[in-house]
Amino acid sequence: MKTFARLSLLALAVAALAFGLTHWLAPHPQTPADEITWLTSEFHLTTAQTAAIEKLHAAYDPVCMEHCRLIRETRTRLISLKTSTPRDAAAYAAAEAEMTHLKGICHDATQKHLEAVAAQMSPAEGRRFLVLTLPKLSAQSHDAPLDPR
Amino acid sequence: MNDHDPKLSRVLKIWKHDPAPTPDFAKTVWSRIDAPTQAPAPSFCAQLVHFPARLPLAASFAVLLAVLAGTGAGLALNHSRATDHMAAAYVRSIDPLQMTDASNASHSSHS
Repeated sequence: MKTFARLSLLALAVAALAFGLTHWLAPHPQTPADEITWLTSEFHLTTAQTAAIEKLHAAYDPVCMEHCRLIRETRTRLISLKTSTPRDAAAYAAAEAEMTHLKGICHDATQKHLEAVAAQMSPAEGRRFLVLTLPKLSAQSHDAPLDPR
Repeated sequence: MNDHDPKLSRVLKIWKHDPAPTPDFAKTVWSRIDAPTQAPAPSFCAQLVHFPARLPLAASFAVLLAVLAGTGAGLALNHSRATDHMAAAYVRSIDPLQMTDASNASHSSHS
């Protein structure tokens, strides 16, 4: 029993040492330069799947740019309303409501895009993709306090 | 019953043994009694060099498995972190809210 306990402790210590050395000293996996390369290798995409996802990205790009433009404009408007004197409370409230609505639209559009990308993958890889990416979307509840910045 | 061997009795009567005198006989006996009965313990370095040969087979397998398990866990953690980092970068590149937050932050730091 004593020998078994000593052997177990030795094995644990060796495992911990091997883990520590590998984690801190081994070169970390190279992250690909672009997202499509990463998607292809990480989710084992076929050529057809990669091409379909590239098309989705190309279609989504203008939507994303437009949303970015609208968010920046609304933010600029909010900042100017906040700092103006006298402050127009009604206009500020309307701009806040518009910002909330806009953020909700952006969030939904991005989520739909992620789901469309996942649908191009195999079911298991698609599920794994959504588990990895959906939590990283900026959380936007319609009740969340606004930040005009 | 008489089992005496007359010839043996005659030999034993005339047999004499005179050992050569040993001046330090007592000292020799005592030093042999006091000497350690086993070889001195090998040094730590000698033990380390011969460690694998002294390790039983089962223990060798246990250590080998532990190395493989630890290394595998370390590599898996590294890969998982890299994947998570890339997933966050991918979402940042398509989420207008995060893109505008990032550009706003860089404008604030430059102003």
